[in-house]
Parts: sequence; C-alpha cells; structure tokens
Amino acid sequence: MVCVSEEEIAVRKILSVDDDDAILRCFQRALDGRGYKVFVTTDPAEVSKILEENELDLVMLDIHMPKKNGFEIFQELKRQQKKLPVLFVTAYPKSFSMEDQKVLELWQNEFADGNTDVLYKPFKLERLFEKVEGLIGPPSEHGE
Amino acid sequence: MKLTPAQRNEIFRKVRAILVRYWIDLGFISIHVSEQTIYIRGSLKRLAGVPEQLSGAVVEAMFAEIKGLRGINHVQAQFDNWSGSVSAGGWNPRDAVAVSNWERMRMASAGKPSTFEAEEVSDPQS
Repeated sequence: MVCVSEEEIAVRKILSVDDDDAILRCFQRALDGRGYKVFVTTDPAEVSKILEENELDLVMLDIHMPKKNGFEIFQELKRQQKKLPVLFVTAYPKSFSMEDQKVLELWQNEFADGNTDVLYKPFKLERLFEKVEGLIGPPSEHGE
Repeated sequence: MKLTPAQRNEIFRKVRAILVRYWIDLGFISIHVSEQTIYIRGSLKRLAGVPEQLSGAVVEAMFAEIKGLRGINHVQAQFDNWSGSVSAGGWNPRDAVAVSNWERMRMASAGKPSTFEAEEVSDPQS
C-alpha cells in the first residue's frame, strides 16, 4: 500500500464567478465530485480577496454579469499579473464576436498564449470536464 | 512514449494558441490529447464577425502547424461542418446552410441561459 499525505496530493483549485447562484452550485457539485476544490462567488468584488487567500489554478468567468462583466475581471487579472488559465462561460452566441472591440483586443493580445478557453451553455458535463482538464489537467497530481 | 501531465497541458496550450491565431471559435471545439495523438472535434468555425471565411487551404495550413508540434505523432480531426482529413487534406466545408447539431442545441436554448444538463452529476457522498 502506498500512503500519500494530503500535502503531497495537491488538489487543483478553481474559482467560478457567475451571477447565477444555481449555476455556481451546479459547477461546485460537478467539479467537487470530480475531485477539484471549487470556490464560487456571485460578487466580482470578492475575486481579488479569494485570489489573495488561495493559490488558484483556474478562474471560470461568466461573461454577462450585472456588476462587472467577465472581460473586465479578466483584464483586471492580467493587470495584476495573474497568469491564470481562464475559462469563459457564456450562454450568448454573440458574446465572442470580433465586432466587439473588447473581444477583438483580448483575442489578439491575451488569448494568443493559449491559456484561455470558452464554454458555451448549454453543455454536457463531459464538455465542462474536458475544458477544465484541457486547461489545468486532472484534479490532482495523482489524478492520472 | 507516455506524456507527463505537464507535457500534455503544454500541448493543449499550444493547440489552443494556434486555433486562436486562426480566429477559430474555441467554444465549438473539443480537444483531447492521448499518448502522442491529438484529437480535435466539433464545429470548425471562425469567431463571429471575422470577415474572411475559412478556406480549405487555411484549414490545411492550420493543421500543418498543429502536426508540427513537438511531442506529437498524429493528429485526428473530425468536424460536423467540414470534411477532409489531416493526413490527406482535401478540406471542404459541408453544406453551407446546414446547421450543426451543436448550433441547433444552442439556438433552441436561446433565452434560457441557466439551462444546462446537470443530470449526470453524481453525489460523491452517496
């Protein structure tokens, strides 16, 4: 039998930001069940605090939120030199459009490093897991 | 040769970077990396509003870059809106007016942003 301490099993941590509490609960349940540690918030103002207190591996951002949209949070992360992989989540087909100047600039300047992905709603959980694992790998080093 | 998780992540990152450079909408694409093979599937389409249509030659050039990634021996791609193969080329759009299943599903759910399929979630406690 091989014993591994908790410290050795570094579980990957995800922060999901969405104004819809039901979606956050679903993300949390699905990704927790998969083995990730998931933090959630409906308040974009809490993002910095959660980032300071936790060593995160991935941030999932809803694009359309009333207080601050996902693109603005993404730009703040970049300004803070947080080079975290980001998964944008959106239900709106036009969210990613070159006609939107913000999208165009982000696509050209920030997405090019390959650390960003997009998940469209509705989706199957299999696709959610696929996108998350494609960005940060399995839930832990021992998850292979 | 089995890839380490870090090597696999790096390949994922490089594939996404290439797709982004070609203005491919990542939301319609699934990428898998297994051993030294990359599998790409879904719908191959550019970001909304990109004026230039994808052409067979552009798709071929894109796959030439992906095939050239270090640590990769094979690339397999299957799209519901393009036919062709990574090894033989011959990329052609399928019926231009055909709507992919994925697109159809999204269109059907327009205006219902909270709807997604959660029935597959199993409670780890149970």
